[in-house]
Amino acid sequence: MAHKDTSPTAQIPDYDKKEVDNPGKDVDTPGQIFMVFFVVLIGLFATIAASMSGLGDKAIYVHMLISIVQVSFIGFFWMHMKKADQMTWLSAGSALFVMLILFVLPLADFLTRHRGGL
Amino acid sequence: MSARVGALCGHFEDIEQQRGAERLGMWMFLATEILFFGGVFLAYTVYRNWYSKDFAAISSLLNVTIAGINSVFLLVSSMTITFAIRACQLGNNSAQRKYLLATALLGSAFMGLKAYEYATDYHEGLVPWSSNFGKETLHGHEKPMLQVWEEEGVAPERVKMFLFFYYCMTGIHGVHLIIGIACVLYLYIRSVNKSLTADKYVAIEVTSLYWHLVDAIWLFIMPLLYLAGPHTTHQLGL
Repeated sequence: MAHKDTSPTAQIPDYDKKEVDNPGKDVDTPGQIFMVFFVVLIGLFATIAASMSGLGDKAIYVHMLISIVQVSFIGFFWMHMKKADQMTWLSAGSALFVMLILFVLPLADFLTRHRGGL
Repeated sequence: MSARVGALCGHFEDIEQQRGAERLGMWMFLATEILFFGGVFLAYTVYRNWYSKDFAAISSLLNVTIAGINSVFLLVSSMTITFAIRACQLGNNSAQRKYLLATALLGSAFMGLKAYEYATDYHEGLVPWSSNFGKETLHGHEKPMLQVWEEEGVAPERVKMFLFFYYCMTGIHGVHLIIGIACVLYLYIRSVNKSLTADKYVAIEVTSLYWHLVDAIWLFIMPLLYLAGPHTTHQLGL
């Protein structure tokens, strides 16, 4: 039966083992980079087309929906959220959550007034 | 203690921990940026809701063609900086330099077109302190915009409010882009000096996070400001 090494030197981290570094092991593929580019580019054309489609005041909702989709793709793939750790998700999520509060509280005031009702 | 790899600073246990900390630091900064721009977007949302007709009237006079071309410049630059990360990770210094230079040039092209657009806007009277907002040509007859707007019930002071937002939002975005261009050029110089090696690819990655955010903000600014009003294919030169 093997005995666990309890000597003081066993507690020292073995840096040599951790320093095996391979930056090229998890790179983005060109296909994925191009895929995101074409999605956001199509989104851009769709945004401009929506403003010429006679939607009037409703076009803003289509514009914002397209922008959110575009930014989601950029964030998930190009900003590497898909392989980000929990702390990064927490930071990005907190920013969006606080921004949501920033929008909801003041706009709730306008929603409840006659003038400027959304 | 054994020797450590070149990119690793003394207070980190390993290189992945250090990279995680660098990414997290940039994301914390981006969180403050999101809130900063969020305040501006909120103010714009409120005023646009109040003065939607006035905002739509003046927005129709902005140059959508330049805004569209600038959007393409930014999207391509976001792609090239992503390719720069990939090239750095694979140790391809030549491609890394080309992609970083392309990113900086595309960002500069955006700013160049923006400067041209500002100059055109200035000459056409599309500035907040203007008392004359140009003329509209209808059936071969020129008519001052102020007269057109008066007939349509558009208030010049509300138009000025839109123009204030236009210059404020695009100006702040432009300043961010100039900072981004400076950061990318710094990375380019490091690449030329061969000091930006594969183990330090996170330097490009954190800069790209900032660059992508500036790009993402533009994707909201563009439709909010330039497409607030009705547009025709004539405005795109089609």
